[in-house]
Amino acid sequence: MPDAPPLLATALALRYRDGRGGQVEVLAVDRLALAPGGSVCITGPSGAGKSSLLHLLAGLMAPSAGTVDWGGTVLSGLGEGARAGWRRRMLGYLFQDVHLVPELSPLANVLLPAGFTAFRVPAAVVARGRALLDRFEVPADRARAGDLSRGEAQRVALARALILDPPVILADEPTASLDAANTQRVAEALAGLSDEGRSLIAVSHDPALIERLGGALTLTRGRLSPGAFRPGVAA
Amino acid sequence: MSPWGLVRANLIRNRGANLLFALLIAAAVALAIGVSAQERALRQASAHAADKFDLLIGAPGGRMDLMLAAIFARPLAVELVPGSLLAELAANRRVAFAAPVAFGDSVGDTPVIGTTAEFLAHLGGAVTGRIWATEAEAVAGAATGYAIGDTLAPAHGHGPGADGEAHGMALTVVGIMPPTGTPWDGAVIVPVEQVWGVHGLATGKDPAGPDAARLGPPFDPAFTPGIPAIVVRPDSAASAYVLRQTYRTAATQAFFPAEVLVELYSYLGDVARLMQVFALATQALVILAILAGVSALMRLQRRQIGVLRALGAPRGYIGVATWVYLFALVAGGVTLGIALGWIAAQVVSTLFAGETGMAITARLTGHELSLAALTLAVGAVLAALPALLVARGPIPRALAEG
Repeated sequence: MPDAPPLLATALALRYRDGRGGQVEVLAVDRLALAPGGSVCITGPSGAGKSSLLHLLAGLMAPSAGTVDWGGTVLSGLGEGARAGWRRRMLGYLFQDVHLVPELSPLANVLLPAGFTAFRVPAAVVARGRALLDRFEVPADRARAGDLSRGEAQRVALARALILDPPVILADEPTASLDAANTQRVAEALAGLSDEGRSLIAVSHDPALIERLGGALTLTRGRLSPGAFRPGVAA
Repeated sequence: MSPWGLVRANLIRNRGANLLFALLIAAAVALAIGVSAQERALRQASAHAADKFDLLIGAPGGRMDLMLAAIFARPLAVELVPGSLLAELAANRRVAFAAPVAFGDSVGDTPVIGTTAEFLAHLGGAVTGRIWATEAEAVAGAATGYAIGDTLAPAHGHGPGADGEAHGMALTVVGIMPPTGTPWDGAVIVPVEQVWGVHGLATGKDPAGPDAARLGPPFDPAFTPGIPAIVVRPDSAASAYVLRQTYRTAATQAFFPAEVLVELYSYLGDVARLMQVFALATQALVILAILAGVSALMRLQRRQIGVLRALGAPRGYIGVATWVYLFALVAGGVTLGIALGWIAAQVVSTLFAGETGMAITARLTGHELSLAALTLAVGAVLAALPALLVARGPIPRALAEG
């Protein structure tokens, strides 16, 4: 695993045209910093721009203004191919909707990112995939990932995010629509990643996860403030 | 990179549509290949059938009719040339032999052809059993199904209209001609004297002379009736041209069946080429339609592609995976199409062979395989278009909206 890079996002803005010639500001984050190996939970009401913020931090889209700097690498300064390469090396991503390829086995799903650039997936990586599935208690050779329960599927996605051993994990509502038991397991697994020295940024409302990750920020109408979001309390 | 997992997932996910697409491509390829192989098989079989008929001489009229009647044993009425021509040709030093071909009778659906033992040997080689010794004996073609010892009752004419009462004479099969691959395999071959005799004509010899009962040449010009066709074997290629020239007169026509076939093939070839153009155009349209369909399928998978991109997949990976998936459809369809085309050509050949008596063998050659390779190449190029579009698309909004 490469060393976790520090994150520094400054003057980050994301604006869309509103169709009437004007612009809608989705995000305006003055400063977001995370020390190497740190973890933080981003909370906030739905539509606040939490997923958009993760997408900017992952370089999936370019900000309208500002920079995302991961240990000296400014994502908007990289070309398309270099950004994809950076994501492969540095980033593991968990999606809110899991997004496994349902026709493939859990192991084949986990190994997908290893096939992006290598014609043959090295035996060591296959072994690592099996070990990860083992660690998250998912049967590796189930024929179809589509037949897994939601909790199992999210754990497969976690193994997929970790297959190339990235130092940064971005997780978008990783425990949403999981039952209490599965929430607990995923939260523990994520906390464990933080203990391994990986940086972790999670978007979540889950008190269990917020508690395990230690810190929380609230995103309201595109603006960050310290502390966890509590529904019903004006930010 | 290793796109197989994704390719496999796409093949499984859209298996119904994939199968349909591959079958459509297969049908288009089979059509092109089948037409091409069948046209060549027909050409080769008919050329082979005419091989032993070097030069045909008959009364002026349609060359095609004369050829179809004499070589392809079709029941067609043709004008006659004077019987004296036979003796005249036999005396010509440029002629190796000249054999009369007389027809008009049938046994059931089997035509009866009268000729000489000499020509029978030239056409088919040694018979099983023996050659005829009297006018009441016959040699059956290999495909007639008759066996030595069978008794046949020839009727005047062909098919249901044949007059069974017209001839009171029975024929005994004494020999079977080995397979020649010509329509004569489906005929009963008798001494020409038999055909003349049952029609009440002179039989080539003075009935009062010592040779009255002898079969075969030489024929006495004074006692030889009119003949529908004479097959001439010249002693050399040069003689063939001289003879053809000599007998192109007001009273006779002479031609090489091969030249008539070449003319026929040029029409046949034009038709085949036209059909091939249609078949190739069909293939291109089929592939285009399929790629349009697949592109629609791929749009439904934009989310998956966005996920892969978010996981760090380079554009090249997405493009290659899409291209390999599409190319697999085309390649599967083309492979299946080659097999279907071959089967179709075999079936049509068998039907034609049964219909004409010719030995028709359709084979796939480099030409058909190059047609298939062309389709494959076109498919490879066309598949690159959706692959490029998919690879160049932005990471979808579906993923970017949350």
